[in-house]
Amino acid sequence: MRFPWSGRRKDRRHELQEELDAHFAIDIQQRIEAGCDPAEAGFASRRDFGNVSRVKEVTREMWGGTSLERLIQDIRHSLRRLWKAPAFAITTVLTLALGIGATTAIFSVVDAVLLRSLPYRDAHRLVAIYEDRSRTGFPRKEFTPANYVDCKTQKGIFDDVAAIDADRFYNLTGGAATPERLSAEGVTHNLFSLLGVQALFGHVFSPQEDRPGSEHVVLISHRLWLGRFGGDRSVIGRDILLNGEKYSVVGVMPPGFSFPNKNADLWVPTAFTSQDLADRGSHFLMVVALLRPGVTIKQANAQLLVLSQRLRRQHMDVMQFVDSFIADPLQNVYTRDVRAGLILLLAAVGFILLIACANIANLLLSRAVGRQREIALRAALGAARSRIVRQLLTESAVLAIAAGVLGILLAEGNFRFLRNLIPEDLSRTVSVTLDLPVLAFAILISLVSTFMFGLAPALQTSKVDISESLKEGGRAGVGVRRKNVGNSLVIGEIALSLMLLVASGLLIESFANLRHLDPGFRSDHVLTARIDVPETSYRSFSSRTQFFQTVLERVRVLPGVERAGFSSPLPLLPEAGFVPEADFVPEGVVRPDIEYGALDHVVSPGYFEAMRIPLMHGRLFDSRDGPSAPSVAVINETMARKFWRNQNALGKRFRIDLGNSNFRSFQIVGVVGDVRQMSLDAVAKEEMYFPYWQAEGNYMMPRDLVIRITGNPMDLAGALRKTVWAVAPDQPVSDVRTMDDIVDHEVGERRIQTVLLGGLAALALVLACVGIYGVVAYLVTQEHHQIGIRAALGATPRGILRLVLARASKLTFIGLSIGILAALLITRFMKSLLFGVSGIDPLPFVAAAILLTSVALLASYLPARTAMRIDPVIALRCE
Amino acid sequence: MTREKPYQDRIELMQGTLDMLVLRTLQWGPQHGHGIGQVIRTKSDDALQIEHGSLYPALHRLERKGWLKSEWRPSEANRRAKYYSLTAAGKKQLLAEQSKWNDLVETIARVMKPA
Repeated sequence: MRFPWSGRRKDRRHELQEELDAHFAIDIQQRIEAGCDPAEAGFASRRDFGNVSRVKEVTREMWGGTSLERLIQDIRHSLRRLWKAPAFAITTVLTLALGIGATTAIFSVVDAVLLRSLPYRDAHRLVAIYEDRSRTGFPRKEFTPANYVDCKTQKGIFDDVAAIDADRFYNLTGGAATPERLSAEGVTHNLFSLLGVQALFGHVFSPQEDRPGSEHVVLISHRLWLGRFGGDRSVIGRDILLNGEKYSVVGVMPPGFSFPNKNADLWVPTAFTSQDLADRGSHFLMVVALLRPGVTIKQANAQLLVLSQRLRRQHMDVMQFVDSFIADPLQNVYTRDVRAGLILLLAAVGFILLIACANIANLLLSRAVGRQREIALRAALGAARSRIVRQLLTESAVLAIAAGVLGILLAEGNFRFLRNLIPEDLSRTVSVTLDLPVLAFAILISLVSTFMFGLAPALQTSKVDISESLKEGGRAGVGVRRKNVGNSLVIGEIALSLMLLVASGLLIESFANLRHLDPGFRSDHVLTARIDVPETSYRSFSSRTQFFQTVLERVRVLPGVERAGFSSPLPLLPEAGFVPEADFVPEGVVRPDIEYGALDHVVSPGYFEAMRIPLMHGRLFDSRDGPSAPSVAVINETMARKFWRNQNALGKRFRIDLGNSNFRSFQIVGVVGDVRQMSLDAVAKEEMYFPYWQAEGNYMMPRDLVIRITGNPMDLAGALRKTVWAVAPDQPVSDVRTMDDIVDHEVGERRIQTVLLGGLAALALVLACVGIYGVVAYLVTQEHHQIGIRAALGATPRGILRLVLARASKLTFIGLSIGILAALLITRFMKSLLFGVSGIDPLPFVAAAILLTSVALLASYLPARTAMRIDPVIALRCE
Repeated sequence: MTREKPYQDRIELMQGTLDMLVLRTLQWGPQHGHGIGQVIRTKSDDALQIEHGSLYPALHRLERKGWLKSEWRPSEANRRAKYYSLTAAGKKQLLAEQSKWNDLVETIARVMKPA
């Protein structure tokens, strides 16, 4: 390595040398002239002068710019030394790169999801508003239009309030392309100005377009524009066919805009009528508000509480069970479910980095012993201690920087995988990138690790006793401090590893619990498909039921099909996070303190059989339950238990308000088992099922086809599409997948977390194993002499083995104790990540402790065996 | 463990006075490092033992400040040595330091004088 100024510097060094040489020459000459013996004169002159190296060094410092030059000098020295110890350098850099890379990788996700604001203009002021009905089990319930209108009047806390009727669907037809089922969002026109989002081309909705009669306008996503319309700008103003009706395209949204969830491809105006807006009973709106500048969430919520209580008093009939309205920062809404998992992962990779640092510190300490003479020599030659420490730290920094660069590359290489950690609904909105905060973080942790693994060894090493170390044959005993530092490192590594093992053990247990949980149905050998039938294509109820009936009849005769049925949303596929709830009134005794409501399902005969949802009492639907037959319902066990406690629910009747004071009475003919409807980890709610022939007037419609098949379900996919298209050529058939896939997807996030944390725990175990081996092996080498004496005094090999193992066990025991205490603290924060297992479940603790103990003993067994074989004669002669 | 205790047993010069002494020594003409040390020693009747550990850094520092310039010349020991001499700036600095020093000595003398 050469630097532009190093040549000039070299000349100056020579000059300084020559200047001092001249000094000695003159001095010696004067001494000889004064009658001194020539040989003696040289010695005397040097003795009087003092430490030449020191003088030179201090003089060089006067040249200026030396701190940089010294740094370069240190770096060159470090590179030379590392070059000479490639195994050490590579091991260290790789270990550290793994730590820095993993930490940077997880941080980049944390940065993208939790730290960076959502990409909207006043993201920090955006909130979502819900109805809090915690008392009846719905802490976050969708809003009703009338309550939304009342929120809009709260000018004191909100600049603006917008509503979204999320997850509508439209079948896009026309042209040569296949019919497509698209997710659409009904939005109030002010949503876009509230978010601060403009159309890429065209314009967002005007207030005039958000009115009944003029609402046949649509905004399309960038993705759809490219995919379906070939990126043609002339699409603006063109009419497209949605559910068979013409909609005029008024704008194309910018890339990445997918509000409020990842599927959004179309936005249409809600165009509420005044009658719609007076509805205080239908919960289907997602409400987004922009806080006034300076208003805190707390103030907003206090104000909303006052508002909700006033409204509740006025509208007791429909709002009896509303505890409050509640505003939540929009970012929280998206990240609530992943926050704990991400923070856990970040902590885990931080632990890995710490363990890696501990191992490297150990390596450096061991190396330092070999360097003691070199360093003592440098100290004797006048190097100040700070200078030596700086040099040693520079060496650490060189390692850390190399590892940091490698770590960043490692992290970036995994960005594709890391996308999986982003909550689904943000997956189109945010992305994992190597931006400034992530880079700054990587650099910061590289520097911090330099001090973490470099400082202790540097301080330790520079504290040399010059006369002892330089003495030829001076015995290189292990200093007490060296031992203490090494021991603390091992204890720390074991404690950290234990915490990771326990945390991942708990996650694995939760995952297993979830996977082995009976969801209430059998997902194997089941094919599902979404077949949304637009009301506009089948205007009459009977034409729709006719369509379903025809499809079912044809599907049932396909080869391999055992059972088939339709259902409104399938389990684990709730629309926009909810399955609609319907209120009912039981006939007979009505208790005023109970909210009579249950999840509303519309199914065809064959659905329960295809899903193997067990019948507990009564009967399932069959061909008897036609449109003109008496209205019947099947309920789940939870509903039976809650509303007909200590009674037989079979044969009981209840009424449902179909609107316009139009009630229909249903008789309960069967009770089926509970199904995990919303998610696997949420207990079943009350659910009622109606046969679709009798569901006229119900908001819900069958949309998912479920087929139980012998053999591989996906083999039927092609035949299924053809069958449906033979009935209705324009009918989209989307989301064709197996029920197993749906269940897998449901646990996907958890699976990734579990696999990642498990991998990190395994890594920690390996690193800790290496660390323990290193320390014990080092101690055995250093105490060769002492062990030799023991052997000479009659210690048996077994005794020596026991001695070494006992010491390792002691360290392990201390490490485990600290680790268990720390793990107990940590698992308290894991509650939201656990399922069916408590944070103090003994199994993972015991398993982790046993695993770590075995690994620690194994790691110390090899060096202990070496110790056992020490020949006292040779060991003592060596001295 | 040894820690460098470089100049402990020696007569410490007051901060900044070494620079002044060096400048003063060079008033009579160019001199090399060894000579400067010797002149200060003999002129102070061996009371001031200038340490080489401070002398050479001081010379390099003064040269960097532009108060001294140096050139290589043959010396009495049959080899060339680095001779330092005052620059114009150095002469000005010497005058300034000299008057500052005189003020200081007078002031301190006044304070120390028996009442």
